Amino acid sequence: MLGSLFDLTSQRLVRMAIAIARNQDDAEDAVQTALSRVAQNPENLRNADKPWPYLLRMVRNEALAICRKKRRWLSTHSLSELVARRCVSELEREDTHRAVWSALRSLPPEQAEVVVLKSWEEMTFAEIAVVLEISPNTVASRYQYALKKLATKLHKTAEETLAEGGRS
Amino acid sequence: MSRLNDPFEHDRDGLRQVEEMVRAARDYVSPSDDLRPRLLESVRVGRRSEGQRRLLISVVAPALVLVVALTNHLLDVRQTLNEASTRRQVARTMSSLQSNLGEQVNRQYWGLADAFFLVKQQHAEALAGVAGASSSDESIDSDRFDARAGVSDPSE
Repeated sequence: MLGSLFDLTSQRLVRMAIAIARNQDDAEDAVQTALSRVAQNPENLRNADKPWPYLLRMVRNEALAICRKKRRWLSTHSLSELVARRCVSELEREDTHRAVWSALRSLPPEQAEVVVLKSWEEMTFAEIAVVLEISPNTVASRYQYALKKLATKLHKTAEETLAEGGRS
Repeated sequence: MSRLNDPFEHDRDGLRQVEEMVRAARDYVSPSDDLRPRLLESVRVGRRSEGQRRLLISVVAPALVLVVALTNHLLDVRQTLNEASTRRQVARTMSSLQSNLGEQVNRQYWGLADAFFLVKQQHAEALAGVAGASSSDESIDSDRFDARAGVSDPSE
């Protein structure tokens, strides 16, 4: 049963956790701890009003706890540690994806998690507010700030890439 | 890559483009291959430890309860025996005390009685002496003092 739950949810949980923890090892530790807790007390998840937000919240809390212990709020890490799937036919888009991930991990965790839930989990602001236990207005403003920062960051990355291309 | 070349402005279209790029990068990252077996193993180890702990509790706890109950019972029995011998000892002591006390009280009582009679005797002798001296003296009013009755004038 746990294996099935893992197969269904692990990718989504790991990418949510990476947005907060900033590195894949810590993100996977957070996911492992959360799912272990679910295995010990499955009735908690079963009896939750909304199991998926409940599970997201568990992973989020574990990732935040790891961050607090390791104090990696401000550091960013190279993308080389991320386990990325590389499809031959999509190599041309890999640079963009890499840039997006780099920009995402440079955001403050409270903004990055909103972007993840909105863009990848396709949740509404109200649903995100339930997961993060904040108001929908706060979710909306964090999302707006996050997008603007991402835009600035990606623009800078594009300029740097162009400059490097020009030099070579 | 071409999208990155376009200048981004903080307008609605620009932000929409950013949203699209973020959505497209969703599957760029995936969990590492060893996460699944790591998770299952950690849960299996955790369950084994929990089972051992429960077994320990289910065996040790009743044994402890039995030992404690037995110890209490033995202590109670010993205490009861001690109390019985103590009671016997106390009874013996009390009875000896009572008998000693009785003798002491008797002695004191008769001693007091002896002292009382001695004082009475002395008073009687004193009175007898006074009565003898007053019979030769004419100024003394014989109604005021009756030596035989031993009664003195209340007004004196």
